[in-house]
Amino acid sequence: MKARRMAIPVTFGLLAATMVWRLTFLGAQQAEPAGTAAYVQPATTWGEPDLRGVWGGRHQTVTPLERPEKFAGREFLTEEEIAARQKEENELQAKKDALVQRGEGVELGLRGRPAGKTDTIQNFEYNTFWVDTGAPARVFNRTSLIVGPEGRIPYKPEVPARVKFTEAVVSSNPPRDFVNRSWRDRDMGERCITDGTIGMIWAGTGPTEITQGPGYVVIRGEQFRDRRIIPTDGRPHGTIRSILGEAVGRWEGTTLVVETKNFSDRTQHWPLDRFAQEYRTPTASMHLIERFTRTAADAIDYTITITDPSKFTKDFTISFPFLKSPTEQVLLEYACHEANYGMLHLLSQARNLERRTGARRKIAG
Amino acid sequence: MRSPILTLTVGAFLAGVLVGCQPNGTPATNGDPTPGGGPAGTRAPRAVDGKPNLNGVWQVMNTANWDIQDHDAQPGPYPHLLGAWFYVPPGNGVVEGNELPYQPWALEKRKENFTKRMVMDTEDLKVGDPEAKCYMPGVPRATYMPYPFQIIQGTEKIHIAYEFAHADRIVHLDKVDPTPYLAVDTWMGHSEGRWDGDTLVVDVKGLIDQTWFDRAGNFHSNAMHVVERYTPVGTDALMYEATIDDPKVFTKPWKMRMPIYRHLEPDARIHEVQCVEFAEPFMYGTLSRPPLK
Repeated sequence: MKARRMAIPVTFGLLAATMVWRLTFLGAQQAEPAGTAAYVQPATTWGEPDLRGVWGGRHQTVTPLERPEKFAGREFLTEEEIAARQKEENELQAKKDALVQRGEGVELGLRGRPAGKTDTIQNFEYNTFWVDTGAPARVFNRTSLIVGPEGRIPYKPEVPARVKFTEAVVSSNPPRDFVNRSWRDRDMGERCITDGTIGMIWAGTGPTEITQGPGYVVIRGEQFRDRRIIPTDGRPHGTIRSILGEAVGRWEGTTLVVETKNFSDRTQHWPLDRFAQEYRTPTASMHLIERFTRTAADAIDYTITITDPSKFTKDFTISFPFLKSPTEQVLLEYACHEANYGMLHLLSQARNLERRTGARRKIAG
Repeated sequence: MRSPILTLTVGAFLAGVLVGCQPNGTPATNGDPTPGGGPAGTRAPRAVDGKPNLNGVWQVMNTANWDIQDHDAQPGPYPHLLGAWFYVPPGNGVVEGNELPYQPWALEKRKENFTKRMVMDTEDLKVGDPEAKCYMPGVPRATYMPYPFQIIQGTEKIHIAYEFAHADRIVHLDKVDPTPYLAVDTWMGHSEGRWDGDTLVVDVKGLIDQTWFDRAGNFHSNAMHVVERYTPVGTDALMYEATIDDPKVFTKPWKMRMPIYRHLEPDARIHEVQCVEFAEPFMYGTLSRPPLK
């Protein structure tokens, strides 16, 4: 796909970009889908590559994060496999639309989606009731979002047990002796804070909006109102840490390269408040490189390379094309914390349980 | 019309390329925060489309977040624990004429709000100042929180990113269908913008009834309609004006007005603050084991 893309060389500079802007903008309006024709990246009026717009996220596809065992050793699906899975998705959407039209719950329409932990990212099938794409999920050619021969998260040996415990705690069937002591026993998502930077674009339930001004790109995820204000004016990283980390960008040709570090370590006090899904939890030693390349009017090639020696034996890369959503043109306001009665109920229920039964959490007690 | 604009644009870019910075006062890409690179002038800097360039990090220098009306100095909460930290600074109000035209019932409600401003009610999250819970501040309060905000000015959209509660607004200068945005009331509302000469005029609707104007309990309903005006004053200040029309709470529309100043630090930026973390002990502490008191 990349070979067929015609990028504006960076040496064209601001002047050329401005002069061709009107032409390329027109071109963008008429551009064909990703990879079908030479594509000229449009520029903003101030001469930077233009990534602006509302883009769909992980919810548009069904590609699992890790490679299912049945595809071991194989990075790509065959044309037949893509067609078969796409047919399945189209039928599922048609079924869902029919149910919705009859006034039945959206979640009913999702019955029948093939489930199974090896086929999906964790809990994704369950969580599909959050996601109404309004269109069939797209089937891409990868067997997993993680690229490379293994297609698996390269956890250090001690990590998977912690992940398993985390999954159990946040599941709908937590361990019987687990009693929530405080909000710190829940993950940051349940606290309406964030699910973290890594999954922001591909794992969230909502679309992503990119806005730009001279020297800045801003990426906003609908879910949790995650926001990253990314300077591209050459300023270096500072020293201030935060939960989503400090993102600094640069343009390499028409590709936006974003380097993120300075992650906060506040979620790392295992096991008492370490209940986020492990691979989505930023740590102080984490370092991310993301690349955004617009390949069509409605498509951005996206890769994220994750380095964190505290959890992974080596770097790994997730690759995912995100598309301009045909059905979701707006980001709506995600006011999660503003009505988090769930947390109040969860904690008051735990206290009631203690009063009634004398239950005490045994884990780290 | 098209030809002169194109000429101006190309000319502006040539100038920009020649001097190695963005044209017509757009903040230079080397981090120089002073548009035009010189002392504050009288003419607003320009964006490439010829409109005033509002890009930058901005903040008010007033005490409106404590009380939008004239107010005396007062002790803060728990002075026996916190000393002089968190006292209420005295300040001139930002309301035109200082008086707020409350309907009689609303004035009583405002007094009740003030009394309960620091209450956390686990049965009703609408009680108390939403700021204490790290809720999105709403419009116009977001403008005069004592924290910075950043304007990222594109051509069809202007993104206003507030540091507090990482609240955002997209000001739509292009025509968008407001239907999905107005389907439910929201904390930051739906903003449509237009240029009136050098003034950015923003029409804000769809605001929820749960935000306050300040810590003093001044409030509004979901019928509130806000019209904001951002007018450049030289290179480094904006005059901000908001007209509040809320027939459910007030007897007539009223205005607030205040200057907003540009941050001139070379590395001015807004930072990520997840203030939910700091609100949780206040909100959930009594339900924890052991309980926080």
